[in-house]
Amino acid sequence: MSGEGAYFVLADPEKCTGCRACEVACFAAHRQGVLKTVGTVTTPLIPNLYLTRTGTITMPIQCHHCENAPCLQSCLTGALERKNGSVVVNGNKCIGCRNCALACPFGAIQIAGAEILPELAGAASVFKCDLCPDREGGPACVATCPNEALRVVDTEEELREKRIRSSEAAEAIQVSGKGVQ
Amino acid sequence: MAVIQIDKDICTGCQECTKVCPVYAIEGNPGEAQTVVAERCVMCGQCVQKCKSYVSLIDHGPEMYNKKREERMLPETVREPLFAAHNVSHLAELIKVLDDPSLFTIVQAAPAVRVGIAEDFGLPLGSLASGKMAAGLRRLGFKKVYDTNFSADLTIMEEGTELVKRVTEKGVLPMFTSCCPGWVRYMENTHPELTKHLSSCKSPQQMAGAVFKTYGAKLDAVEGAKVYNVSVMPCTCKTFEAAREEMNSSGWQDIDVVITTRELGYLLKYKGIDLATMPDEEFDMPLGEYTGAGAIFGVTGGVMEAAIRTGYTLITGKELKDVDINAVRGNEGFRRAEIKAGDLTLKVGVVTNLKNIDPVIEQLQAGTLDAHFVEVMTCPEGCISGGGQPKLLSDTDTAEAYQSRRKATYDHDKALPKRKSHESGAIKKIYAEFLEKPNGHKSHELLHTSYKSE
Repeated sequence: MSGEGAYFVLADPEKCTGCRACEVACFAAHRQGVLKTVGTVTTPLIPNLYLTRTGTITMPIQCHHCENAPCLQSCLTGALERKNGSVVVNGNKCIGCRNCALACPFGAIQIAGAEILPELAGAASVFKCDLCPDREGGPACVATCPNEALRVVDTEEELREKRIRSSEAAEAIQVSGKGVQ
Repeated sequence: MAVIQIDKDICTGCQECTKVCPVYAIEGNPGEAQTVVAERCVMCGQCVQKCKSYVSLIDHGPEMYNKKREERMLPETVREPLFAAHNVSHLAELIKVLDDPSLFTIVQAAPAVRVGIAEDFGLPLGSLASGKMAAGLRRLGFKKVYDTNFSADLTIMEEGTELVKRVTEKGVLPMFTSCCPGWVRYMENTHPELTKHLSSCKSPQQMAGAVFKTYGAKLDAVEGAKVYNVSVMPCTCKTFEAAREEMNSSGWQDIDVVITTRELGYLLKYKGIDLATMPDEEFDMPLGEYTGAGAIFGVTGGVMEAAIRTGYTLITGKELKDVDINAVRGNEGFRRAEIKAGDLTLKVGVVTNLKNIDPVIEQLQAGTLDAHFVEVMTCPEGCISGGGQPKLLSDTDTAEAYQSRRKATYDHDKALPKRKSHESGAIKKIYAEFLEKPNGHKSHELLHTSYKSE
């Protein structure tokens, strides 16, 4: 994956069953000291993507790594940065001001502070998708989904394909039009 | 008794559990909390392994986690995520008992526990930890650290003898293994008319329970009434098996409490014992001695392989030279093999994952199942993949976990000085001093059982 802001993970609500496997795998892939089994976990499970349920559908919501990322622009401390095209958390600079969470049009950022766990008071931090840059085989959520409901969207590639399909459709109309004459 | 439950407050209704349930015992509408139909459930715990619907700080709030941990009677040191599908834990009872000096606590751990438990302490998947586990159990204060592997060897003596008897005396064939309580329950629930095909042998857990409270009590110079038998199992159904009313041939309930591999992890952490840094220690003798044959009970095909190693000798009077029976190893749903033993060609089958049993049952009913002996395990690859084993955070690691645990089991077998059950000193000793002979009067009293039939 390379290129600016061209990649993000997208869920297909038609396929998602709301099982939360993506959240658990995401957490496992990102937290220090968490290995492969549940028994190695000693911290609250806060993932970097958020399974969301409406009356009729479920799907995980995650960062789109926007081109002119509002979260990045709203961050007061440089706690977010752009790296290899993705918007990622930069060290421990987060002060928990929540600007980014409010700025994000998708709701893809979770600030974990006192509101979700009293122990976190004064030690808030930001949780968001980083596209698993160091994971072989790409994002953990995509790999683990039992229903293949998640995919990495390569925006440029998809646009190219759509343009080709549009051209082919035009071509087909021309050909069939000739047949009518 | 409820063994497997799905928590209505946490279940998302994704129905991933219904895909792994081998007996279609989970019901509910998509998107709504599912229910386990206790009558049909074989308590294999594959739903427990599969479920990823966790108690979420974001969705359920911080209070819910503590509430659920208390409801499930788990120690306050448990910090790991709690999921909707879970097994009812009896760990709290055990914690109380460990502080009771009037009881003589004996612990046994199944073959598959030692290739799983270390995973929850940060060691690689499938790390063999038999010595560390024995040390950890000793630190917990058990008076005796015996072993289910010992009684696995004992099971082979009894079951091998029973098989030879059925073959030579035209008994009911094919004979099916009976160490998997989920499989036994499935037969009793759905085909009671076929339970005569099950070996009359109790499972290693129950054989150990009966022996520890009788022969073991004598060796340890304690009253059987004072013995409190604890068993650590990779299996969520073993607690049901232990509670079966007929499992009291010692004069008391043979097994007092069962905990899973994961719960042993909770217990060790609760007591501040880090399994990863434990030294290697031995099990207590003689009822902690075992051979490679006992060690491979935890993998699919292992009981069959162990039985062949000893059965060969029972049939021919000679020793099998090459004990690696590759023909029964593997993880395909139904494997067939033919083993030459003198003039007899022993036809065997191995079924793993109860989802694969129906065609085999159909052949059995039609009288076309051409086999002397068939091993059945409910879980995907035998006990190493049991419902009580360490749970993976991502299913992408499942295959690696099974493969590593399987490899560790076979490596353990290969490294042991004795690899046939009948070569075990402890087995020779118990027959000489107590049981007399396999399938003898005493064995039938303590080590054999009967099933619900029509």
